[in-house]
Formats: sequence, structure tokens, C-alpha cells
Amino acid sequence: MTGLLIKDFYNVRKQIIWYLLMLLCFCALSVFMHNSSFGATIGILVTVSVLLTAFAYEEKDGWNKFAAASGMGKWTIVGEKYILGLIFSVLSTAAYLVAFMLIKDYCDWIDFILPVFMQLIMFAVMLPVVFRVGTERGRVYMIVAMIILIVVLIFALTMVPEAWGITPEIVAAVCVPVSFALVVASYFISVRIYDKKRC
Amino acid sequence: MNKLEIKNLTKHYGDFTAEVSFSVPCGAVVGLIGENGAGKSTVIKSILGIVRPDGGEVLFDGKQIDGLKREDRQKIAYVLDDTGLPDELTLKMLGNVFKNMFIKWDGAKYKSLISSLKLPENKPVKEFSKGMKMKAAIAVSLSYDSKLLILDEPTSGLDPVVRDEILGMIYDYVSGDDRAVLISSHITSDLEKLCDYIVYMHGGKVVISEPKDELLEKYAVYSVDKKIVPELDRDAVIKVLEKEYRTELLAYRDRMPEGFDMRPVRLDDIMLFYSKGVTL
Repeated sequence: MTGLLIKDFYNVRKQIIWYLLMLLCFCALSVFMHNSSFGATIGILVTVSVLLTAFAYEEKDGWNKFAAASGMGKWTIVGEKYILGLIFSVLSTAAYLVAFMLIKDYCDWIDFILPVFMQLIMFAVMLPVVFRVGTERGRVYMIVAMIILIVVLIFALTMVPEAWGITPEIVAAVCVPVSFALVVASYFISVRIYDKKRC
Repeated sequence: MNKLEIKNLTKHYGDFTAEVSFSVPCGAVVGLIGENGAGKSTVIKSILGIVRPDGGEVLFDGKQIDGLKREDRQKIAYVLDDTGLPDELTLKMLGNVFKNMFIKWDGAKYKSLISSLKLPENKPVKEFSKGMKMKAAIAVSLSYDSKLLILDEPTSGLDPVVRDEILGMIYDYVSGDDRAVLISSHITSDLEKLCDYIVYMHGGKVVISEPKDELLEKYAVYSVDKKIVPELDRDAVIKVLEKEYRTELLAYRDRMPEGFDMRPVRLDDIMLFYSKGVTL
């Protein structure tokens, strides 16, 4: 799996610089404007974009056939994309956490937990879709899904906690197991889709 | 002993069905020939696990290929028609990738191969010519310890000099202990130089699977007057091809009467007769 990860990092190396710069800029905006929304949404964008770019290069190069013939196995080939997504998810969450800690007096912990949860939902939904339909159509579906999620996120951050009296502890207690279960289920679905595509 | 055995391997694609059996003996180079759409790539993809066959079995060193562990599976080296190498990466980067992918990767051998092939180590693959890309793919396939090399159209679209270099590398590979090669190509002249056995596929079936020398010895192309064709022995004539001014026959040398205008058969002739000729 390490080889596959190294290959993806090499492939997206030029884009990574831009994504990291965007991540820093958006987190800085959150800090200067005392508004967590910038840092909250950029994480979703970065994680999804890196994965889509990695998939697009593989399609262009015909890498899928090469990898399938290498004896790596479907669990490893599919799992590598999940690890790649998690790496960028952790990275963007860490950047957002730093920004969040600097402005936490102006925010609520729900503002931190929900975007991270949304990011994991997005990547759990996205990977099976891209394995199934490829990057060209997958990109369109992802833009639609991302818009829906961001609207839901903004709604959740502004309306729900106050109206329903939900505490950050409750949000965390729900989000952590749900996101874990979603990512695991997504992995199994993706492996099944990948395996079926061999036919 | 056979390095690779393919027994009733079946793959359906809509109306098309490939159903093949043949083997690749140890120490041999087997050439897989056939027209476009004959099923050669389907067979190769099925062997490599890129597509899942609908039936039959593939045995590598006597073991079911599907059940092989990663280490054993990687004893099969491969070169795909479009190489599959990531375009954005340099050969140096590819070395870092593959040393973490192939258990028995030999970094020193890889370096020596890319140096002997005069390939630039720090240039992205996307800047390579088609010939350089193919040489890079072959360098990768020869840089880990394998016992079977499978190549899908490795010389297609390349100039004679590069093709000759590639054939030399394949020849050197099979000269090693306990190794074998399966190569598909449209360029039958390359296969005539290199192969010990020929497997000819037509319409998804294996029509001929024989040692190359015997095959070229056994058949011949005869040029005859159209009028005498009905008088010929049906068991001697395999296919008849009508040309503008004459009729050509693909026939068994030892069954044809003497006195006809005859020339030795080439692999191209066999493909042409089977795809365009008629049975007497």
C-alpha cells in the first residue's frame, strides 16, 4: 500500500502545494474575521479535490490495469484511497483546529465537530461513487453533494444548537461513531464496486 | 513442464465469446497472434487478473492463478499495451513507488537497465517518446524477480531499431533459468524472429497452437489457376483466397502434388488466409 500512496503523492504533488496554501489562507481568514466558516468548509474541499485528482491521473494513465495485475489485491488498492483521504482529512482538520483554538472564544465546539463530521461523510459518499462512475461524472455528483452538505452544515451551525439545545458533547457522541461506521461501510461498498468492475 | 497453462478459459463480451486453451512451456517464448478483436488482449487481461474470466482455469507453475499469494503472483511480470505507468512521475520516482509495491524489487538492476537503455532518470514519463515509454515499461517488468513475462503488443507503433532492442531484452530474459514469455503482437515478423511457439486466435478461438518451426515447415502458400482448385485434395488445402488474377492456397506441403508455384508461409499469410480465405 505504501507504494500506491507514494505514487499518489507524487502524482498530486503540484496540486498539494495549492491545496495547502488554500487551507492556510482560509484558516487565516477564519482567524482574522473571527468566523469559523472559512476553515470549516475548506477541509471538505481539500479532501475531495485531492482524491478526485488522484483518481483522474490513474484513469488517464491506465494505472488501474497495472495495479490490478500487480498482485496487490482489491482490499489494498481500494484501501489506499481511503488512507489518502484520511491523511488529508486529518491534515485539514489539524489546520482547522489550530485556527479554531485561536478564535474559540467566538465559537462553539459544535462549529468544530460538525465540519469534521461533514468532511468524513463527504469522503465516505464520494469514494464509492467515483469507483463506480469514474472521475468525470463523479466530479459533477461531488459538486452537487458538496453544495448540499455545505448548506446543511451552515444550517446546522446556525440554527440547530440554539433551537434544540444540543450540546457539543451530544454532537460528538453521535458524530464520532456515525462517521466511523460510514467510512467503514463505504470501504466495503467500494471494494465490492471495484471487484464488480473487473468483469 | 509448463510455466503457464490455460484450460478452457472463457470470457463473454456481449455476442463475443473467447474460449481458449493453450500452454506456455518453461524456457519458451510463445507468440499470441490474431486479428484485431480476436481476443488476444482479453486472454492476457484474464491471465493478469485485470478482468475476471467467466470460466476455465489458469495455472501458473501448476497452481491456480487466482489463489496465488502476492509474492507468487509477482513472479509474473507484465508489460501492458498502454504501459500504465504514471505520466507525471520520473523514472527515479517510479523506482521509489515500485520498490514498495513489488516484494522482490531489485533497485540496482532497475538503475542499470534504465542506464543501459539510455532513459533519462529525472524526466517525467509524459515527455518520453512512445518507444522510450515502452522501454521504461520493460525495464520495470525486468526489475523484479519473475518467472513469466507477459507482454501485450510491446512493439506496436515502434521503429525497427527500438523493436530490435526490445526483442533482444525479451530474448535475454528467457535465456535465464526456468523462465518463459507470452507475447502478443500484430507485428508477426517480430514473432517469427523470437518465438518458439505460435498460438493463433481467430474469432475468440485458438485455431493453431504449434511450435513455430513446425508450423512454418508444415504449411506453404501455393499460387494456382482458379480452374484446377476443385480438383485438389480437400485434405491438403486449408484455405483458398481469390485474388484478381490468380488463386492462392494455404496448404499442407506434404499433401500437395509437386509442380505448383509455391512459397514458404509467413505468419502474416496464416492470419490473412484464416480471416479472408474460404474452405475448399
